[in-house]
Amino acid sequence: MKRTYMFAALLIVLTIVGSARAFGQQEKVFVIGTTADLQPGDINPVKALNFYYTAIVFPELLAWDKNGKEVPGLADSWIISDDGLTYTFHVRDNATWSDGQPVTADDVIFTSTLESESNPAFFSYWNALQVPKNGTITGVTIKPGAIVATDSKTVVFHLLNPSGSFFTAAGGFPIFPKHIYEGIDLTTTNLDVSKMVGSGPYIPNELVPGDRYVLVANQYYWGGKPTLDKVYFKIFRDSTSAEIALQSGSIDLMMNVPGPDVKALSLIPGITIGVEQPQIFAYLVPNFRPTLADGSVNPCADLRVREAVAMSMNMTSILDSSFGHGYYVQANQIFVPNMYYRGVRVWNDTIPMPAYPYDPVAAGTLLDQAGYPAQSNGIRMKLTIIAPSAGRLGTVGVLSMMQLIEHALRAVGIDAQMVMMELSSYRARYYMTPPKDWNIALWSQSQSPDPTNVGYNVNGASWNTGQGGWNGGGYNNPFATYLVSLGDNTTGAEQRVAIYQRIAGIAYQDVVNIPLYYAIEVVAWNSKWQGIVLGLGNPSYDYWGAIKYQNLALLTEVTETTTMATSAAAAPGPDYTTVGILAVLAVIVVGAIGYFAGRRGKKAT
Amino acid sequence: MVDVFLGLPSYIVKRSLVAIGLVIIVGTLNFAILHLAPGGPETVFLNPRITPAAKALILKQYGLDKPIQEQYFLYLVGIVTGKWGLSYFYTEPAFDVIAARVPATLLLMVPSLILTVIVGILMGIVSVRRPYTMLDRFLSSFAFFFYSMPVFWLGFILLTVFAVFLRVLPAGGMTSITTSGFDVLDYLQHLILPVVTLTLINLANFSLLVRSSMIEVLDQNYIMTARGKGLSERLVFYRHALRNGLLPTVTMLGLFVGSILTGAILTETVFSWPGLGSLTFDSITRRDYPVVLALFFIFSILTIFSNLITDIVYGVLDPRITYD
Repeated sequence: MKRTYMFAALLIVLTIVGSARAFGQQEKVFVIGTTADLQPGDINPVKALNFYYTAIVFPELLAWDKNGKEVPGLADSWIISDDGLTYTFHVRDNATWSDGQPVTADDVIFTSTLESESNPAFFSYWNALQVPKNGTITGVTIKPGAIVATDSKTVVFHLLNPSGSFFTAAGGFPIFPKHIYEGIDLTTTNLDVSKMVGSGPYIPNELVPGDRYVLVANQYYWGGKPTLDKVYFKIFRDSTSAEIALQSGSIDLMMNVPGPDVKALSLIPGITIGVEQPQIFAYLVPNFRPTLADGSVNPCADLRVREAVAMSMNMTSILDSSFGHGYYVQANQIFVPNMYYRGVRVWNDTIPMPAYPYDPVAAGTLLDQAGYPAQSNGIRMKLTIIAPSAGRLGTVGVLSMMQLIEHALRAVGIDAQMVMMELSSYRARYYMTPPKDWNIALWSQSQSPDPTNVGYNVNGASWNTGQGGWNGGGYNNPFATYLVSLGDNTTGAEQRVAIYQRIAGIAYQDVVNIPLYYAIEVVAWNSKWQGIVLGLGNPSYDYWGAIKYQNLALLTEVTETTTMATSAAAAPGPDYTTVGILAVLAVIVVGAIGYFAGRRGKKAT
Repeated sequence: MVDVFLGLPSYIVKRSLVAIGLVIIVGTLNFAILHLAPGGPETVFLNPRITPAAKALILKQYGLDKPIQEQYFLYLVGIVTGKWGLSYFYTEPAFDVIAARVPATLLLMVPSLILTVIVGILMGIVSVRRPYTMLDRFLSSFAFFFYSMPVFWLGFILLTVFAVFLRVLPAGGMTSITTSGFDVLDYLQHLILPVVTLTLINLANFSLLVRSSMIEVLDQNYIMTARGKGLSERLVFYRHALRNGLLPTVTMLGLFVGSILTGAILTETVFSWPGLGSLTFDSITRRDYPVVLALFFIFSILTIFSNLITDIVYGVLDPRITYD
């Protein structure tokens, strides 16, 4: 028996010590940890619901600086006609696909047509060029002659009508190779990842579903030879697992660090925390319809009730408690603070911060005036608030925030019942055919320098307020709707921005939504890497900018003796001292157990 | 033994027929629950950018425009033919999506299962050889301690200790992120922590069962008789008592096979293991109906038939059992 225990102890020691290996790497690699599962659809032009990964492989015609001002991307020059109806882009002369073929104007035309006809999510970005066509997924197509190639590198768009969003849309769209994708039904087929052709600094090499996505350097990249040989996206199911991997050196960068974890992570030596400019706006959407689905009166249809709800909450205190100071930006309007359209800031400086002052007494007075006096039990009304339990708004911080909001509303006599549900159910309920069965919904919107999407908040058109419409609250102000349409059709930057600032003002006055916060995306990386730049990215699609393809091509590793890029250093090796001590302890403990067990056994017999 | 096998074929046929019926009932329930839940894959496409015509086309592509009865019929046909439809998320046949994840799950589950059973039984044997001693109490406490622990918590603790502090084991995944090709040692290294986690959590199922079962068996008259005949304690224990004492373990094993797959969801989440557990969770939240229904079908089959096999093995081990 003693021998059995000694053998077990030896086995434990050998297992621990024998397992220790240094994680050496021979190539220059960069590993990004993400909790977003990657699937072939992410690089399928008509399937991708966001273009973050696509943009690395298939750069857009334009890129954007931190002020939302366009800078050259795949196109090195562009001309917009004075009437805003003609856009000319020149593709770089040295732009080449990874198979050696040149990127041409035909690729741009092909992409535009493909997306217009086949992509149900983004087809409307070509709205100014479209005509109806049966047989396409979207029911439209590009009008013949609307896009022409004047030479192999120059493409001209002839719009049917002025469009304020067209420039950022067309310039911000990933361009796909015609000679690879033409003739393939991408609605039912994904290309073999290992055979993909791109023009970005890295091209896909391997996709292991649920595990990782591997990109290799593109030797033909027009921006110069990338500094890295490979980029890996490692999928984690849980952010804590990703943080552990970052601390252990298995990954180099982690995206979307949850707010509550940031402080602890920032204290760990060798880890750098970076914050994105906020591009996500979280808010409460009041239901504007007079009645709910069950026929009961909806209090939120009354402006005074909406104002009272807004004034019942001390958002500064609530947000500090929920997210921690410094890792959120309090919201006061429908535009994020870093929204720029072609270099002009859209933010409306006249809207106060906070938008609605915390004043529970005034809130109570408003509710009295609205016809909701406090009953003997102190309750004035019941409200149902729906919220998702997953996704961007399904985090611990948001849950904490909503609980605090519930308490704040109860303090003024509003019996707010928060109903949390899984994401798909939540979306179905938010988008349900009116009348809705909720009073307030928690919602969020990803924004970009182009304010077009924000207009959906106030656009009262029936397709936008009906089933599936973004204006889930059903706000319907004909003037606001008119302004949205005007903004879509205005091309001058200053004029267009003025229209949207006016829209922001109307939304504030009518309490179209109750602003909560602008989310800051927090990114953490191993301090040994240089050149990581965060900031605004593609204005329309990969709105959480994170690390852009231009930066991925330029990353270098800091070493002890030089700052030049070298072979990737080995990740920190095993802590042999501690392992040794633990192994000895394990032998002693197991041996002691065996000894005493043996003695007792002898006594018993 | 011969008597056992006389009734066995008809027993197997009867149970198989019952199993098929069970599978259909369970499959129907799965289908109904999934489709009755609010929301669905179309919620992914509900946004102002999509026209009703485009949405209708997409639903048609997925077969979601068909009447529910027709969808149900196609689902049943798919179960039999193995054509489980196209994954909404992966745009690949659901069969292919699942098949790609099976090796990862088997790699995790089989060693966990074997280790749990072996270590659990050994612990139970050691405990019962030294009943009510300090060792027995220690082993019982040890098993309960990990049994009561949340699996994700244990997983994170092990990861933090061995991957972050000691840096002797990898921080999750099935292989090293940058490894290409098949590296056995790499796989084994990555397997250690998740297998240890699953084993520790499930040890109590077997160790305590074996212990209590063996204590009961050792109290039987025939054991007393064997001792009275002068047989050594070792012979009495291992030859006469153990086989009967392990019978309940066989039943537990049958149930365990079915539950360990679903229980792997949390383990795969913590250790970023790309197996069926994580696929199940993701597919449910995405409302990827073809994959979800196919997975539920697989789990049902595994559970039902593992119980059938358990019953058969039980009959082989216990001559008192007859198949009528």
